[in-house]
Amino acid sequence: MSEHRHGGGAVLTGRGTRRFALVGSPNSGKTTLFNALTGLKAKTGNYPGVTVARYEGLTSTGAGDVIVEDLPGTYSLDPISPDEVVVTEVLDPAIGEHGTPTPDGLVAVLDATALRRSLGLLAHVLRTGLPTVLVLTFTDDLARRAGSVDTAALAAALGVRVVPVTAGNRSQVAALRRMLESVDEWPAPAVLPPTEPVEAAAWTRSVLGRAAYEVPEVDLRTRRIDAVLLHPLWGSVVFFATMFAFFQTIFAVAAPVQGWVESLFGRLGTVAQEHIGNPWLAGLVGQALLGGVGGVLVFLPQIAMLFVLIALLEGVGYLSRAAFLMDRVMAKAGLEGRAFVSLLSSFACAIPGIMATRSLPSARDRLATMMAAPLMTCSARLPVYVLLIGILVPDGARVGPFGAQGVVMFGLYVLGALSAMTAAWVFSRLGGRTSLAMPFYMEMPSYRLPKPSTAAIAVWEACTAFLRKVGTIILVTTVALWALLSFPARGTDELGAAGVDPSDQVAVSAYVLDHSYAADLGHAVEPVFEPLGYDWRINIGILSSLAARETFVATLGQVGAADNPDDPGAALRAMTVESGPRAGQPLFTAPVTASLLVFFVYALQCMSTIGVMRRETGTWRWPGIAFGYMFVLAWGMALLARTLVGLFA
Amino acid sequence: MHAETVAGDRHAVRWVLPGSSLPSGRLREAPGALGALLAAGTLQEVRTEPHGVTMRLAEGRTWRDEGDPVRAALAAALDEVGAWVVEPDEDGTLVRVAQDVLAGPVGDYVRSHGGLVTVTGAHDGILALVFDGACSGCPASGVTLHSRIESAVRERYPAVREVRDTSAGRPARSVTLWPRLRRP
Repeated sequence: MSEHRHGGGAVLTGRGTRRFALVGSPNSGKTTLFNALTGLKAKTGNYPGVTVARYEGLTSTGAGDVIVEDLPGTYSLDPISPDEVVVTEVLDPAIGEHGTPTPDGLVAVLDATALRRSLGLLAHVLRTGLPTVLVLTFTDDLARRAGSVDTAALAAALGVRVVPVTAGNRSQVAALRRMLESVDEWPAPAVLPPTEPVEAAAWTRSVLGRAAYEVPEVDLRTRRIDAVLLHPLWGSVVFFATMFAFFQTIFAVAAPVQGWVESLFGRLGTVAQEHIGNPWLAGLVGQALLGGVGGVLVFLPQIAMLFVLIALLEGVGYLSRAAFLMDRVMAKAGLEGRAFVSLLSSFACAIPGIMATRSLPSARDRLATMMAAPLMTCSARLPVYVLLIGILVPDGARVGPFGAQGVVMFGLYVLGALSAMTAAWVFSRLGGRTSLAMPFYMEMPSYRLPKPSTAAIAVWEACTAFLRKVGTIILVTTVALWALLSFPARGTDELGAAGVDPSDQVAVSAYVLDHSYAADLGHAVEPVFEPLGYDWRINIGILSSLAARETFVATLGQVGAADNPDDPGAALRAMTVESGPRAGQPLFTAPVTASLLVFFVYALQCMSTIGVMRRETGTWRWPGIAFGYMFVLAWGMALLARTLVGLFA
Repeated sequence: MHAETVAGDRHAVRWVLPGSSLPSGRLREAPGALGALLAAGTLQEVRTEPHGVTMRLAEGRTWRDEGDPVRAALAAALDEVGAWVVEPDEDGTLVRVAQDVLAGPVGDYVRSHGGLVTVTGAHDGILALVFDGACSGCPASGVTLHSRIESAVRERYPAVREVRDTSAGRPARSVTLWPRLRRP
């Protein structure tokens, strides 16, 4: 029996680093274990389907370092979805010979509170013939909920070693680590378990009977809370109230911090103005770096706050409930539950959302979800929304007891979500309705107190990703725009001829700006945006935002900084239309601001998203279609918004 | 049903069959594929007990290869238990079950503190054990006998009438630390 485990025969595998893979169902605590083993910071959530990509890390054992790989959560090794294909390929030695390296050993991670369902996966894992140990997670939960399992008997019945490891318990993790040293001595089952459904069910029953497994009661606390939270009416009410409070919090908590950051950049601007002699350099630093990039950085507190709240909701286990509630609505429209999970991930950023579509078994639903994901309000829209809402709705305005700014923000998120679901529905209809509905497991995890470290990691990652984006794509676009906005340079003669006093710095920069390359570009696209009431400055902002949405804020910040270096925000509010029938009137009127907001709800202004879409679909066709339809939709809806708000304002 | 390894015999596995009720002894003939495997000598020996079957493969064969067909054959044969021809051997089965139990976690517990329990035989449903090592003369050996060994044996062999400590009549070993130092 055991001599056949490696199937390799006499070939020495060399003394390379040993490789272990963690396999388990979604939400089995696999990623927490991975983090505990490797010290890496893969993000975990009390929410199925968080690991979409593959993570690798090193862990040290007494026999040297070994590689540990965290595979995507899967319910079986029948490759139904692309996610499961990844896992199957990693575990198949035949494929391993030319491509993905086959692990030296597997660590199967099963949730002790859901053993009956997860043993099926273990049967598949054992049938790969690779050396395996079983890690039982959530044994503390099992005990608390009056369930029990005899791990020694379970090990005897399965023929493999069983180690209980509850989240991050150091001595248990150390025991597992010691076990990784001796993969050659791991016992293997004599007879491989069956995977044919009837036989597998009999096997599971028999093994659980031997291990004296007591099914845990559904946690009383969880059951009581769920009675309300999963109720079709009360659950929805609570869901909307939660989301509403969510956006109020973002404004209420983050706004003061944002004020501090703003005044910091204001002071830096003054210092730069005073100390930099070279006018070009002063322009670059004052306008592009402080006015533009700084203008985006100001929104870091909001981004952090958004992710703190998402991490808390996810850690507690509420997001799964929200997904479940919404799934009922989506199912009525004939949409996959998994599609909603992916749309929900797009709440933070469309890229993980698009990658999460890998868990969708049907290609049609996958494409439909991918086409819809960018409509979910991602965190890149947040700075734009905050800036424009600040112009549209005065500070302190209230709707009943609530801050009006938060209400508008909530409305925009709802609009985005509704539009995304409608788009997914339309695209899945267009693709024909032939495919079979696949079963969808959505686990309702017990309510757990979120681990502060997990929340901190999520926020840290989001903030560093934001800073990285600001430091790369936004910085480059902003500097390029600065160049476009500041050239061609004007000689004193020309300024004189145009009636501008060359000694008046502000007047000069305003003149240069109005006659820059960027202005030409902005004027060139004017026919497209004219009906929406945008002038060339907004047009330039929109063009630059095609790289990344936040750049819109940076561009307007630069334009504002040219007019009024001390307070770009006030400059924006005071901006007037330069020519045409509305000349002299304020540029950012309520209808125009509203139409801009709506434009940003719909337009696909993100190169990274387009790149990921290309990678995931393997063709430029789908990103092209997405960009095209979203632009048309954005334009149409923005016109509608301008007209409607114009009627009422 | 599931298969467990048998300690010390890599050609043997024990199929655990919860809910079944088989006669105890050695299987001579069986219907269908199981009978064929037995007749062909692929299965060298098949011993039955109330809730399980212990099978021994012929030399040169492995459970990795034979596991699936044997499982299917056994599952099919379990539908016609009436057609099984079993050469009865109740007491032999009882001894085997007791030896298995003592090789497993119950035995681990006994060995963990220097005890030694051996099966000396069975007669008419009465199992005879000898308590040795740290167990001899230990006042708690009775508890171990009944609450651990007997209950574990009864789980697999419900017909056991009694488990008896037959070491009582033997001269008590001289009290030395010898057995404690040399753990089995």
